[in-house]
Amino acid sequence: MLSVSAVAVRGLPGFRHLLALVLMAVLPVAASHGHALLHERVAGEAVILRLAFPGGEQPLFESYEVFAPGEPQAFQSGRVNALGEVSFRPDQPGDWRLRVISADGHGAELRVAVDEAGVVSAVHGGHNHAGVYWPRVLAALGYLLGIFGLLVLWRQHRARAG
Amino acid sequence: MHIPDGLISPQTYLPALALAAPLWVLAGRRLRARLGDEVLPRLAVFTAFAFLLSTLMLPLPGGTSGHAVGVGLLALVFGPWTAFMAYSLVLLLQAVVVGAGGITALPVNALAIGFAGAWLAAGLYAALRRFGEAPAVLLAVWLSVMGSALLLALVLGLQPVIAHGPDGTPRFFPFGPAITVPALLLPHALIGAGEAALTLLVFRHARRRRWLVAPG
Repeated sequence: MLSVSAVAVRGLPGFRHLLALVLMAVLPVAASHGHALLHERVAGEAVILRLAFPGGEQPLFESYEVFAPGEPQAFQSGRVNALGEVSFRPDQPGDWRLRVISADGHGAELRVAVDEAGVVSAVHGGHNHAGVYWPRVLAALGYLLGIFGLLVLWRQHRARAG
Repeated sequence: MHIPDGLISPQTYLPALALAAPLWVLAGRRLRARLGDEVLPRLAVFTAFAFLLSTLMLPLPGGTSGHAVGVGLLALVFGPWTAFMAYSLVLLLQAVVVGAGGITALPVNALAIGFAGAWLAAGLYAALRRFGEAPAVLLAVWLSVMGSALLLALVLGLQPVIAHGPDGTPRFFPFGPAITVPALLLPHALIGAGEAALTLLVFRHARRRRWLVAPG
C-alpha cells in the first residue's frame, strides 16, 4: 500500500504539491482539536467545607488533597479558595478524606462520611471551629490546673497515710 | 509549631513513641522525687502560662501567624526533665481539648519541642551564663525555639522520602526540607525573639522570688 502510493506521487509532481498544500491546511486544524477544552454544565451536589485554624485564621490558598474511600491516590487536589473553602463532588458513598497542608506543617486531615444520596452525614477528625476556640482553651486550662490540684491532693493524702 | 495528625507517617511517629515513652516514665519518676507541695502549685501556674502562650496566635509579616512555645521558661525555672513532662501535658491538652496538634503526632511534638527544646534551653543557659544572665537567657531561649523548629521542619521535610507510593507520590506530607526549613525557621526567628524577651522578664522575677528549682 505504501509503495503504491509512493509510485503514484513520484509519477505526478503536481499532485505531490497539491497533497502538501492539503496537509498544511488540514493538519493544524486536526492538531487544534487535541488542544480544545470543551465544557459541559453538570447538575449535582458538592461537598463544601470551610476551614479555619484554631486561632481563627484561614488556610487561604494552601494545598489540599481529597481521597476517595480506600484510595491511596488523590481523587482531587488543589488549593483552598479565597473564602477558605474546599469543595468536591463525591462519586460514591463512604469515608472520604480531605487533607489540607501548609509548608510550615500546619494542616489537618478530615474524614467526610458521605451517604448513598451523596450527602455528608458526618465530618470526623477535626473540630467545628465556629466560636469554640476560646471556650476550649479555657476548658483545657481548667483541666490543666485541675490535674495539678489532684496531684497536690494525692501527695497530701500519701503524706498523711505515711 | 506543633504538627497535627495526618501529616506524618507511622514510620515516623511509632519510633518517636518508642523513644518518648521511656523518657516520659523517667521524667515522671524524677518529677515525683524532686517536687514538693510548695513547688507543685508554682509549676501548675507556669505550665498554664506556657499553655496560654501556645494558644495566642501572633500575626507575622507575610500574612501568616504563629505562637510562642513557653518550654524554655519552664526549663530555666524547673529544669529540663520537669519542663519536658509539663510541656507534654500542654501538648496533650492542646491535642485532645483544643484541637491543635494531634494524638499520633504527640510523641514527635513532645520530643522536638518538649524534650529537645527544654534541654537546649537549659544546656545553652548553663553554657552561656558566664556572659551574663540576660544574654544567656535570650540566646538560650531563642536558640531553643529555633532548634525545635528545625527538628520539626526536618521531620516534616523527610516525609516525602520516608512515606511515598510506588510512583513516588508522598503519602502524608508533600514538601521537602528545602521548603519546610525556611517555612518554619523564618517565622520562628521572630517568635523566638519575642519569647526570649518575655522569658527574661519572667525568669528575673522568678529568680528574685527564689522560685528557681535546681536543674534536673
